[in-house]
Amino acid sequence: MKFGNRLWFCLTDVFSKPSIAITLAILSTLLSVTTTMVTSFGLAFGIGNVNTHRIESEPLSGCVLVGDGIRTKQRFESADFEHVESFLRQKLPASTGFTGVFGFREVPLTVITSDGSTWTLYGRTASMGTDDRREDPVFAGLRRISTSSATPSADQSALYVSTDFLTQCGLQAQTLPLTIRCKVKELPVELRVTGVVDRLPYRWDFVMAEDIDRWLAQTDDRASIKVDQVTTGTAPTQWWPLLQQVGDGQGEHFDRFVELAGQANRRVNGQRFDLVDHRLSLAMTDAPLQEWSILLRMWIKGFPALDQPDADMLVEQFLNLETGILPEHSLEDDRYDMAGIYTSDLSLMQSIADLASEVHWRQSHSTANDGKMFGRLVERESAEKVARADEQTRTALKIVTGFSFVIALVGSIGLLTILFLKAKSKSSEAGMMRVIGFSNQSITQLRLIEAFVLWIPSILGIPLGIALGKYLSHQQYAGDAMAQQIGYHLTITHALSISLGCLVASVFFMQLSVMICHRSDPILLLER
Amino acid sequence: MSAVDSTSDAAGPVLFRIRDLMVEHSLDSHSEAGNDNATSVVVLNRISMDIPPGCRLAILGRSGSGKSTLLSILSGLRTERSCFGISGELEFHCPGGRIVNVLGSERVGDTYRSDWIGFVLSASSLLSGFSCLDNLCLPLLRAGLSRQTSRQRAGQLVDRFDEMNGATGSTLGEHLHKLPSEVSSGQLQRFAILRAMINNPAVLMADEPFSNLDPLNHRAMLKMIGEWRQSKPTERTVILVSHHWQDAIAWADYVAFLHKGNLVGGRLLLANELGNYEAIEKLVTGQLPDNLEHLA
Repeated sequence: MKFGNRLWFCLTDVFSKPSIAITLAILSTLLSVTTTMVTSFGLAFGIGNVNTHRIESEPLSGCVLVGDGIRTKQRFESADFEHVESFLRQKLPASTGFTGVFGFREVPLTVITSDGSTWTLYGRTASMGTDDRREDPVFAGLRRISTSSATPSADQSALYVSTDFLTQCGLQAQTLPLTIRCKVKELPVELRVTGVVDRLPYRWDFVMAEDIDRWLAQTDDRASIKVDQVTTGTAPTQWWPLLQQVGDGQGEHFDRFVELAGQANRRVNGQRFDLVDHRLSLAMTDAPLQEWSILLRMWIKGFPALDQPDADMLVEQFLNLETGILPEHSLEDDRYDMAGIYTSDLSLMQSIADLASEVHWRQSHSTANDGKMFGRLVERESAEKVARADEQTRTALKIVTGFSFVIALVGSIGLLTILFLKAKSKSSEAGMMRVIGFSNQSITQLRLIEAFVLWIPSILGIPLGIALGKYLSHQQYAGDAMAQQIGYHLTITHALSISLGCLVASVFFMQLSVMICHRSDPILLLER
Repeated sequence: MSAVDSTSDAAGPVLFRIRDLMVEHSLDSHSEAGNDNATSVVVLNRISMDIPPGCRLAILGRSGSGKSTLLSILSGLRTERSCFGISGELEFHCPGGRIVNVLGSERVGDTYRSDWIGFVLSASSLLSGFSCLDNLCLPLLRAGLSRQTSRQRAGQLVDRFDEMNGATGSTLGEHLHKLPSEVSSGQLQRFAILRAMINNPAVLMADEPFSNLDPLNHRAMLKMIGEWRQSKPTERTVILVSHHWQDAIAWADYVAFLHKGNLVGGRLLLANELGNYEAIEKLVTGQLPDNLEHLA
């Protein structure tokens, strides 16, 4: 039998009335279209959340933090930042969200106490841009938060902590979420630590800034910030007695500490950063000195990048308080501990980080790259948006995958049921064909072609489904190339899976049909 | 006219030479009828006969006597000895002189059937997904002809058949493009017979082709087959399995009467000597009619 005739035979047989094959073809096409469309649209929906948030609100902003790894020596100058900024502007596209390079100094910010064994504390603020006219986006965020009239509640206070911090507290990520109970101005406060952030060690600075600011705004009682428990940790023994003495709130050391701390606070923060100044002043004047000791200890421990020599140096500086010598780094206005490279486009952060590792950070030593990557800082609001969008994306992906799976499963069961019924009728037909003169071999060949003919609608349905899904998702989330690209690849994967399933079903049908055909004895037809 | 002596070469040309053909089906130890000792049942028991070319042969017998089994073996549908418990020999003497040992392999059976045999089943033997015309074309397509040529030849055959039957009702030509489900069982069967004839086979075999037809259609079918054979009477052989004994005997040249797997009389019987009811009654009870005793 000629191939053309075979194909004609199969096409006629498959699509003839009242053959159920036509139902089969429609079913498999619908299955393919529906599943791929749902997948395509659903994926775009999930991933598109990122885009939605990006569009709905002001641009997200982030910062790549760079330092020299030695906290107690100010290594960067304004000229360095200008040099780096110029370098980055050359390297980065002009249309990107690159904002500029700003300097950082580190000062103790606040303290959170707990009645359990969990403590967290340290802070960092102070920023001086190379151009004062430019607003520091991070501090813009802080100001916005500080003027918020939102009522604080335990639920709203979500903390992100680092793995290192958890380890210090003897905890593991599996224990999250955990609740830190503490008192602020005699008010019981619960903080829920909800997540662990690796390689974003500075993220919770802003969380704490927000929370504490709210606490402070909530009460007029500034008498004290009560500490429930002090952990000794692994503080260097040589300065612990000193802290104890200061912590007693008496004596020469105490007076000197108060004085120097006030000076440091004013010198570092000036009047430009009211929030920080306000908080530190408050802490200095009202809080028991025991908290200052905690603050200092945790300040040392809190920086993941701070190794032992740095800690020892810091202790030495603290000991110098006795003699009235302020740490050097808090005195010079144009020198900075760290550099923050800001961008309003989070997708740029990796590029900036890569470039930051290439640039010679200090003009005076152009042969050396003293920039040491500390991590990335994401503005709190941006971080929350990203986290929320990520969560929604993951949820959407789960729903879409589950939904696609259910559709494919139900469709496949229906497909196989129909194929099975059809295979049974085909066995009778095979007997008739043998009577006409067809051999088992030629019947098998015809069934093979027929299986592929049945597969064709599924194949055609898949690109149709992809096209529909893409159209819908493009309509909904136009402009988010990343979301659409990821969605496209995942949809293709789903579509190929469905296609493979249809092929398997068709081959299964063919095998079943041939098996029954071979086992069927034509004499059964004769004896009917 | 005498009965054909299958064991004698002097009897003239032979189309089928059958020797000790036996079909035995194995049974489980717990067989039906409570006979736990039975291990097999004999469907055909050492059948030997020669079938001459150009004859009309009716295979008769009660239900379960082995008629359809014999026809399926003759047609090449059952060829593999081990599968079907077949033993014995079956030779087909091709018109060109070649001899085909039909009981060889499945492949031999397929080739033999497609080259020489036209087969008509009882009702509903057309493929439901194809029009009547396409059903007629299937043997031609299988033989390698194009669809256009096949359709032309099928159309010509139907026209000839309609002409032969005159204006005695609806013609088959009116239903060529209908699906089998849209035509009557009589018309369906006519198409099935035409399909079996379309390749001009040397042997036309039919297994109770009239079982679902009324007497008028029955006679028309017999006439149709007869006329087909009559166009080349020495080349075309018809083998018919039927329950309508009287009609079959009246139509046939020879009769192979099977009773419980045995060939009554041990050979083919002359049909014109079995034309009376009494003779048929005797055949049913396993006896030979008096006028044929001498042949046993």
